[in-house]
Amino acid sequence: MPINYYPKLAFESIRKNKQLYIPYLITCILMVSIYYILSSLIESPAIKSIYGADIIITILSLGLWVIIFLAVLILFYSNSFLIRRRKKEFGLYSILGLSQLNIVYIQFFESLFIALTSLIVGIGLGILFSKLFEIGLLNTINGSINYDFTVSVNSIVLTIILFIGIFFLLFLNSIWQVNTTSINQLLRGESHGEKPPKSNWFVALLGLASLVTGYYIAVTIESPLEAFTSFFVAVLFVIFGTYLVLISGSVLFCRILQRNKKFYYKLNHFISVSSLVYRMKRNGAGLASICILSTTVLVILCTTVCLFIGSEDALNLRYPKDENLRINFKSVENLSKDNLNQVKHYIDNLVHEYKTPVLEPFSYAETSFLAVEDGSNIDFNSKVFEEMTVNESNNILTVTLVGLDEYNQLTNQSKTLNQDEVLIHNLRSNFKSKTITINGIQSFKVKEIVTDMFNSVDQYANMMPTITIIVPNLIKTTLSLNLVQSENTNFSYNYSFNVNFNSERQVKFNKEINKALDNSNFRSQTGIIYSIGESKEENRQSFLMLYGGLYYLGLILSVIFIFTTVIIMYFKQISEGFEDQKRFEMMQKIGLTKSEIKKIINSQMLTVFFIPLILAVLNLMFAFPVIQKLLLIFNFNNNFLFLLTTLGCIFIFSCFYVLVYKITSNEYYKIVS
Amino acid sequence: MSLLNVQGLKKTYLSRFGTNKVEALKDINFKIDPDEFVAIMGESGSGKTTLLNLIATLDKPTSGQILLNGHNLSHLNNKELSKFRRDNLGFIFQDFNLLDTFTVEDNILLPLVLRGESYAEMQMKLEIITSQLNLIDLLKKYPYEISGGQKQKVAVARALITNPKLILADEPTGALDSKSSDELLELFRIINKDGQTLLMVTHSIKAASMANRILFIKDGKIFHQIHRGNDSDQELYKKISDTLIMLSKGN
Repeated sequence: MPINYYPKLAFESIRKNKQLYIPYLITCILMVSIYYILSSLIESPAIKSIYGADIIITILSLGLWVIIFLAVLILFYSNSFLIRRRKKEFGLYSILGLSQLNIVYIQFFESLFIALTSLIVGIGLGILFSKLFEIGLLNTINGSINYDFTVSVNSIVLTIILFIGIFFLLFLNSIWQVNTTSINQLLRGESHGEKPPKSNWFVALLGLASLVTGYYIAVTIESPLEAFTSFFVAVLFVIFGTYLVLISGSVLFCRILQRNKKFYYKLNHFISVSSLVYRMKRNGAGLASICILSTTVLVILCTTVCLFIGSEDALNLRYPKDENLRINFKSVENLSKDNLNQVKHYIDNLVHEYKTPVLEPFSYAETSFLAVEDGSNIDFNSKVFEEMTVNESNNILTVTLVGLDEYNQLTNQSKTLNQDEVLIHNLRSNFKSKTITINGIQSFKVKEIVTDMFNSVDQYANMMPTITIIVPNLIKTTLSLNLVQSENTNFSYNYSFNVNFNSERQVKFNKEINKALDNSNFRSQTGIIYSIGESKEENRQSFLMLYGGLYYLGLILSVIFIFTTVIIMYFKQISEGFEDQKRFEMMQKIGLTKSEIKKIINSQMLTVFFIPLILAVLNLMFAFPVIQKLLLIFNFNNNFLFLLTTLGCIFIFSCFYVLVYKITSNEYYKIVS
Repeated sequence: MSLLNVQGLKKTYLSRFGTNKVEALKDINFKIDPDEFVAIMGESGSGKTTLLNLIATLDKPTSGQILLNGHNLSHLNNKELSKFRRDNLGFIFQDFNLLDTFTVEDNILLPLVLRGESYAEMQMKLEIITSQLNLIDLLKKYPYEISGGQKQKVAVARALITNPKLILADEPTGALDSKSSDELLELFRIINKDGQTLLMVTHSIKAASMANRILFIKDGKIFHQIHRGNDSDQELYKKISDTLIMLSKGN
């Protein structure tokens, strides 16, 4: 055969199979352009120039890996589907006398054609839209927008190398698929007698157990730190369980329905249930993938949207006032009223130099230390923290002692305490005991577990579980505990206030105040060993970078996940359409009306389609409390807003899902009728 | 009264762009009485299958009419046709057309399920038909697990279970080996003796020689017919083959 004949043949066969190749090409193009866009965002000079952009770039680079993973997954899925549908064609070529090598040539030109088209169109679209995405991102993070059009050569090269690699692997896969099948098998294509799926109690129960275990872990997670590791385990259980349940459990469920003769031998149920068995066996994995992808979209969307909307709240929680100072002293005696007044006065004077007052000041003294919780006992000397076992380190918490008078004053209350009584407040912790023993010696009665707490800066700066113990007298109690200043034990004064400056001045003032507190004379005079002043304005930008970046990546990833879902659905519908074509033809001959067929198809499709969505929402419901706790780490505790965004995301996603259902089921009808 | 009455039946197909007319059936007239076993013979392209499709209500005639049990089929709309099909006709196809997602049992029950009968009724009918056709051992098997002859037997059971007025068989032995063919034809003869009317389209002289009457179609017309009378199978076989030779000579 003349060599120039192969490209022609390859092009023709793509054109003839356009029902399959158009969606495949769209998938390839989309993956290429998204990859280019994301990598050009990372390279974008406009983004690099923003202060704190490294956070965004880290987040986007992580996203890039997710996209590579997804691209490989989805391209292999749709490619193997294509090959399966085209086996008959290749069988025919062999019969007509083409050698295996000839067929490899054809496949090579097909792959080349697909690769070139998707790279050229994909990168072209990527370049066109990258500016739009850049503006979108800059807009989200309040960066200054410029309209210079840049093309990142680096990204183009990267995209080409990556996708040429992927397309080469796809090519190898199709050669392998076609050449390991005999001509006879190729000719018969997909239509050989398929064994009826066996219902496997063990696998189905294993799946169910795995799902329940995942859910159980998710709902019993108590602290946010635990949530980090356990959530991951729970997710694995749920993914595993979802796959098994949809693949095996669904078959079992149909078998049970079939055993109920009165139910089964009804027109609507009879055909639906019996073909559902086959459908679930073949498509259970696809449905489970749709379910997992949908869950992922929902989780990503609702967390990132929520974080972004709540980023101002989180900023205010972390930095309650414009200027937030934390000053650590040598010993607890330095926390005396006189000494603290001297420090406060010193700071106030710095503000007064600008001829403005200190607004809404807020201050308190505290003793804080790391300790290990063991029932009612709080132990701070037990071990060096670095040498702890995992189990012990799960029980580490920050303990903060606060004086009763300051607590009452700052929370507007009038609680009273005897000398041996304390109040306890939990943050990300769960202390319930009636008594509390500190370091095995000093015991207190817990008079009350309180829920009111003033906003203490330090507690939101780390993500440890924190219990605050409100003691009758801070200095006396601290002394009786023999606490000595160390890396893990601090005697601190927290002082936050607002100022009447514009944001630029605030950042400048923050530098000045840090410098002033660094004065060694003043330090030795008042016993200060360390101080830090943090400005809300200065940190606003990095908050926006983090939350805005996550939000933006969340949106991009959601779009890709949704698209992946659509592609899986589309190929699933088409393949089922081809399989069911003959079946429905036959039933029509026996006396089924068109409208009955349509009704049966509809009920079948609805079931098959909405199982993943329902399961995804169920998964999300169980993930909800865990995500809530994870969000606490990001200082997000507006549960109402979270609930609202979650419901919103579910609603929007479901609308989209129904739309996709409508479109793809139309394709199915077209094939069947 | 005859069970099937075909009068002046014409079917014209238009080619794809409507330029060429192809007359598949020109003027077909015949009657089938209850309890008859009629075979229709003819070469490929003679219009046999078109005729069967028209009688099966799968296609509509260009002109002429088909009366089945006194009902004029051309007066029925699509929905009524479907109902008519499932109540009055049984089908047997060359390639069996069994659903591979169903067990043998469910394949046989399918027409009854379509008619919405109760499960108890279905079981009763299933028992009768399967013991008659010797299918009881196969009930739980799937179509791909059984032989071609067995598949066709299942198809016969599926056609018989509704007690149809007329069974239409389209090349029923076409995909079977000779032993299975003989068994199937013997089965046809038995169910015909029991009072079942059969109309069979076939290529095979052997199959046709089992019928009581053979119609020959050529170029869209009924060319000739043979009545069995008192002939034995062999005598009928000879008559049929003579007729076919005559047909192919063009007389």
